[in-house]
Amino acid sequence: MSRSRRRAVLIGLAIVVAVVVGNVVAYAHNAQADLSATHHFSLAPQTKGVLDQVKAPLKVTAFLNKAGAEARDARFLLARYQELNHHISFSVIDPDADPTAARRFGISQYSTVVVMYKGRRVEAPAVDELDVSTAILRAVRGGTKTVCVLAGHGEPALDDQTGAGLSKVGDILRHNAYDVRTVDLTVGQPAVPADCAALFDFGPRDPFGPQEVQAINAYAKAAGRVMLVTSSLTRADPNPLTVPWGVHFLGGLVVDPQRSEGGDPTNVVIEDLPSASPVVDGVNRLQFPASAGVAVDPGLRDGLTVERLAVTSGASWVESNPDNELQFDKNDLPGPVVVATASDDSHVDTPSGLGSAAGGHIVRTRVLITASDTWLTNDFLDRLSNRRFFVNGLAWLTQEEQLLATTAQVSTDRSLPLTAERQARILVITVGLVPGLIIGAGLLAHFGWRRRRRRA
Amino acid sequence: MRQALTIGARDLRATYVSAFGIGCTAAFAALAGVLLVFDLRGNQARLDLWFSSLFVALGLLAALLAQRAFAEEERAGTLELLLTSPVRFWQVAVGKLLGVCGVLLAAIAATIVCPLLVSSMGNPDAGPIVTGYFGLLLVGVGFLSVGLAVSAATPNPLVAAAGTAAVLVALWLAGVLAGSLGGRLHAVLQYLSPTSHVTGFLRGTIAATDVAYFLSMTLVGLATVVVVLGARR
Repeated sequence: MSRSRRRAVLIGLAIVVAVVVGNVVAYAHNAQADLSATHHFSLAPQTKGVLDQVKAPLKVTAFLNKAGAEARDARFLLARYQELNHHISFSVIDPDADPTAARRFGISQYSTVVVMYKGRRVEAPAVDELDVSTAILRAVRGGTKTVCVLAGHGEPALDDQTGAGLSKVGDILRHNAYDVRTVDLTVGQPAVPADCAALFDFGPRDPFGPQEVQAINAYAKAAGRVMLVTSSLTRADPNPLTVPWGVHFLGGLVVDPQRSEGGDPTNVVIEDLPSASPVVDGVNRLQFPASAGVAVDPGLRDGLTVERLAVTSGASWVESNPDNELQFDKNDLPGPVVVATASDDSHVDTPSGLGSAAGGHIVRTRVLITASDTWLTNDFLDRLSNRRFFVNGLAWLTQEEQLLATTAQVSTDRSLPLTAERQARILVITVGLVPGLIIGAGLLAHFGWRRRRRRA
Repeated sequence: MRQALTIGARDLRATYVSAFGIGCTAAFAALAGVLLVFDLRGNQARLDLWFSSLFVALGLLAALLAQRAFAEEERAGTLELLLTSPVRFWQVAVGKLLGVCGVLLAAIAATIVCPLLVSSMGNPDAGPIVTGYFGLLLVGVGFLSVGLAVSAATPNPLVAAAGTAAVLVALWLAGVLAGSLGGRLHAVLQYLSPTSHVTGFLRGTIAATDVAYFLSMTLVGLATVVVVLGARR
């Protein structure tokens, strides 16, 4: 082999080594600069921590309208997850274009994400970092929690697929690895099973017995988690269950002529979500039909905090006589009206006979109360952010809080209606003017060059 | 490097003196305008779909531009002269790349009117536009060097253009094939595909892997040109 050839081989080898090493190092470090306005694709360190825990193939399937910008953003976001952990794969399916796949996954609506990991399935309500990362964490952690659902007071059933039923709520619970147990405290010895990670009462109609109230409160006091979804339609008095947690059920019917839907002032739309509670993370607006009002105790005991989650507009009121009229009068309570609260009660439980310095553990009770129950039904769960509100509440109660403190995304209007005039303007400039200028400049240069050559 | 610049400037001049260079630049600009109208039908002032279409168009442009690089020399009988002149092969390769990159740059510059129009009508995010153009340059240079490598290997311009397109399609297919595979092979094939490396530019990010990939493509392309020219001499 000649010297020059040897040198060429060596240089070739050096190039191959440089290319391989350069790419391996870049692949391993996965550094990127995010120039997008919202830094939407720079995943948070907490997400990266979650992705480090993924050690086996994990499949993310997003169900979206493929033609929309949302599907493209979903692909961009999920591609970043894949870049950070190569065990992750993803696909975006349009339920309309591929109804078989949608049926196989049991998906009935857009914007649902299914995470599959080691045979476990977890759902996320939207394709954003918060929801996808939370779903991945749940899938990776594995295990199931038992949640108990109260029955015996005329509550709608979780398998009822009619508009007034709660089958969609049942699906959310099952798809998020919760075991659902129905608890009827009206029969036998009333006691809430201790292994209930949370106790739900979705729309009681009939009154609670005193022993039931005692059992529910005893469960709640012992670091229990309760979601009480009641409304003006109930004949039960929820106050014995809500007052210990700083919330008074006012009853009545909330009327909001300013923020309501379908010309029905009792079909209230809520835009004021004043708390920083994780229950309203990512929640923009809620629709609470036939809602009653609640009031937060002005003087709360130490350790008890109550967040006002949802408040109606200043033009609303609580109608005390809804059966006869919907006009504000002196018997009505003026708005804004609180229609959802989250109570968090923490105290240190010290062993009996010992002082507080002797140690003990923190007992934390969480109670989520909504004064409407219709928002959870099949007809209304997918309206506005109702589904998100429920999923957040579920996570908050069962202490699977969402991973990331969402930063406020600056919402920028990027709409650009492509009118015929705009379309024509684009075509005239880009297809006519610019190529024309290029050709004109080219001709000028060409003839100039020929003239110069002739002169030369 | 001076020799490389001289070769590049000579090629660029030769391209723009002919109707080919002007035609390519004007056609690319017109195509960008047509694509813009199609891609704005989502009624959103965003250009990711437009850039994504331009990446495909760039593959065609690269095949067209690179096919002439060596074939034209061969047709004019100047290739032999070039190869026997006191110029190193890497200087020839870099010079040829600089020549076609000049045309690429002009073609890409001619599309800048599109984001300007969108900005005048709506409020697009500037980040993805910057990264999109950065990506167009990087991807264009990578594709052109692949085209030059194929062009150096054949005296026929048509074969060179078809060969370049075939190599780029094969790389694209690697990504499609990766989707049906698992394990390490999936990761390798997916990494080899340019489609997985343009996503970042479309969403507004510049990732080290994407830059490394297209720089590597350029380096490998140039090295192949040097090897092929050596073999031809």
